[in-house]
Amino acid sequence: MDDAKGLLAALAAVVGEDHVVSAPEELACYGVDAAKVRAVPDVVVRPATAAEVSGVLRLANERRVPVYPRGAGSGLTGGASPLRGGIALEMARMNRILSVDPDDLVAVVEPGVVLADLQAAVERKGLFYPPDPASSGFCTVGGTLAACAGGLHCVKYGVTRDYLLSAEAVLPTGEIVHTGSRTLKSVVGYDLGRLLVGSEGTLCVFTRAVLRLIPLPACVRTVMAFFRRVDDAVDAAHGVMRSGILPRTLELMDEMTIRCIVAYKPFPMPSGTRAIVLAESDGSAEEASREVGRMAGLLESSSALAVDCPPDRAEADLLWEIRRAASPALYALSPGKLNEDVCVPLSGMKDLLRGAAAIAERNRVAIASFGHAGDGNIHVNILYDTADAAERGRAEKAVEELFRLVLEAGGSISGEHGIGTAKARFLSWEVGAREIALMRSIKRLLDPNEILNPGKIFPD
Amino acid sequence: MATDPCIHELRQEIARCARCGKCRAVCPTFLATRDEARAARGRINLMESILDGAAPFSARAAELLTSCYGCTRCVEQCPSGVRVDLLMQRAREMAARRFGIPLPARLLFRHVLPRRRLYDAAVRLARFTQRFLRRSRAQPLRHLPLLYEGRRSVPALARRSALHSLPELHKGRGEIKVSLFLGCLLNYVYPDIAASILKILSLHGVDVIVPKAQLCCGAPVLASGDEEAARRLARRNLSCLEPGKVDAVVFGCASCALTMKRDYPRLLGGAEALAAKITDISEFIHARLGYSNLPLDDTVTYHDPCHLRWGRGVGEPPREVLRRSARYVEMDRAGDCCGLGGSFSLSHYDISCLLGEAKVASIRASGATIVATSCPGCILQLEDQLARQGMGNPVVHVAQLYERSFLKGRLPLPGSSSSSSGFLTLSR
Repeated sequence: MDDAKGLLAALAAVVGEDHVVSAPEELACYGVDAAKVRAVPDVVVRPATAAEVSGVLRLANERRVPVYPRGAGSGLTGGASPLRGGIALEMARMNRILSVDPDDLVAVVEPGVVLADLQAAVERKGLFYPPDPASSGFCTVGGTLAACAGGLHCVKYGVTRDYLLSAEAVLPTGEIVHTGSRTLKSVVGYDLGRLLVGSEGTLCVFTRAVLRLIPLPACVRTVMAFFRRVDDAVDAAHGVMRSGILPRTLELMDEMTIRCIVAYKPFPMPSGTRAIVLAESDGSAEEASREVGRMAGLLESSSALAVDCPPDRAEADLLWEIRRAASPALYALSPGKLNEDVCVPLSGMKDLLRGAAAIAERNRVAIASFGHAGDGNIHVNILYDTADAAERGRAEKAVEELFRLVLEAGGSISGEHGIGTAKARFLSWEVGAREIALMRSIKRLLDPNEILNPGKIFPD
Repeated sequence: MATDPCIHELRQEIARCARCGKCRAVCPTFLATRDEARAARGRINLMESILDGAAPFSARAAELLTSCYGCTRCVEQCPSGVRVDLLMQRAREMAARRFGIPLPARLLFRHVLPRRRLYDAAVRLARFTQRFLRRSRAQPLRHLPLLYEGRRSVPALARRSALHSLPELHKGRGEIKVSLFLGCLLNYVYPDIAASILKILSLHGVDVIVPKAQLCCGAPVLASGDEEAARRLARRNLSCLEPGKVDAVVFGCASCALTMKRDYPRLLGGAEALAAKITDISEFIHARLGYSNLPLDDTVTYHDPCHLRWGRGVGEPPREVLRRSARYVEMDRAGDCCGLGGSFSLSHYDISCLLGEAKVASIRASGATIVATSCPGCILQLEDQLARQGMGNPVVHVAQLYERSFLKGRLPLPGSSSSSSGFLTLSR
């Protein structure tokens, strides 16, 4: 980076000296993110307003310095990694919940708000913000917008892009734009908001969001069913959907996942359990009760080994411990993990799981699959020993075979995590050349100098 | 240095970190500053960069690393089970070797703490100087210069230390035998709590040894990175607590208990026997003594000491003791750090207060009259923070409430005007 001192001084003029971090010791703290991509920025800048973000981007354009927006750095595809050094744009100071409005059913938030804090704030007013990725305890709203985060409730409530009504965002050249409307419906001109959600920090930096809220369901009921075969579990799950029920949650765990979980914490379950379905209903106490009762009945009649439908929240939480233990159990077993989140049409789920098992055997790696049976989005985790380069190679080959399988089934290589850097080389496997060209021209239009988050989504 | 087996172990532990960021949800220094450099993950990245030679091991780096004050909550939270606490302890030791330990601290840790009589004399001197401090509005007020900064309230040092007032040997029915470890705060600041613990044990006919030879557990010494000085203290404590001769070694201080349980086996061979017998008084009550008490009418809420809840995974026993001793209400975020962090609040009082304020807000929202906890360090911090907010809720040790419920109606409420420990406020 030429004229480093000049750049630092210029950045300090925009955000204040205290919010420009250039000491190597502190920069080192940012050096690895959740995708385990190693990249240290040349400087970290912490803006407090959209105007400051704009000022930083204008400077970056003048000097052709790359800018990498960053929330909690919890994305799994390297979306926040400052691959070319440059400026890491830390949004943590913009962390106010500006309003939660039960009349208009909206929340207005800054991008640095931790998602769980937003959820808690709206729930205190009897409202619900459904997108709920597993990282909600520490990820930020800006990150969820950039990644179009999903979570457990997507089957019933949709994904993040369904909840962004209006955004204030700074374009890569520094212009501040406003998309959408504070209203629950609006179709006036092109839907720029929908373009920006999921753009993984390559088209804009979000500085404010108006998010749609819905009433908080009064009651949530849980049911868990244990199966001898994963095929039975898939049939049972889809039987629930076909019966006219749209559950709040419909999760599935395969045999490898269960084995890892019980090795991590010996949860009691019927012997011979090789697949688990975990579902939730919400609504009024009667509605939830009736629906969960119906689900329990359907699961029972689908050759379940056992069905557990706890009457109270505390017992239900114990069942959820099992599902929540999936990720830590896998980490504990094997720090090397390729965490893919493929999505297939519901009718293709059985084949996906069978195919994953075959890929595991063929490549001599362990694969644990669990996820959202209600929307076809399964987290296929390929485990490997970080010290074993050959095993890592086989794991990566397994990913390629998995993607081929998924695409042949008419699926998508990512339901929630996005492309980042991790999957850039696979973009063309799913997206056609014409479409990629179109995407690239949109990127060029908004970011002529290729300043904002370069190297993400599109392979270099 | 690269071939040092310890470095290899360090790297292995660091490699287990998935950099997922989950620690950010609970790390108190991160939550107070929103700065990645003050989150467990950021510190791990820094440590790795230092080992790789990619970042300098400068004073600034040392400050960032040692600004972790060891609450261990990240360890409990971490899906990969990374022992961040052990990594941070190694960082402290490396920093101490590189930058040295300030002379006053060195003198204190190496020469005063290992000598009980000298330590007693130093405390008596400090207590004497407390006479010249101003009293706070509601409570007796004194001024303690030198060590503190800003407007903080500190309790008066006790007239007689617990080790001086309590008998070394208390004979019970001869069925259960325990040794009791006090720690510096119970000994010099809250001897009434130590007396409560002994009273509880004696009421149940337990044989109790309170070894007069016990010394500081060494927690602040380890925190400064002086492993050798800590080892010297550990040796004496291990020998006088005699774990082989008792059914349990009982503690009233969560930090002392965690230090001995987690760190002594690393410092000394043969400390595993001690570690296995370590129990908090609330665990001991819950497991061995039972509840023949009568619950009081007061509402009480519980604050989890980090070292007990997250460091040792003990959350239920003190709550159960409180449920059986009074009207118990759970406060929001009871497991959040009070902000003391041992000597951390001396060097980072601003962050300490941010955390303390949040805790006081939880206490207020709970509607409880009394706040109970299992660590005198937390009591110290909560008393200061409540006073700062003009709140007069008594802060007690779980043992004190249990004792009072045992002798229902016959003891004054701790913290009331008739209590022996006064209350000081410090101002510049």
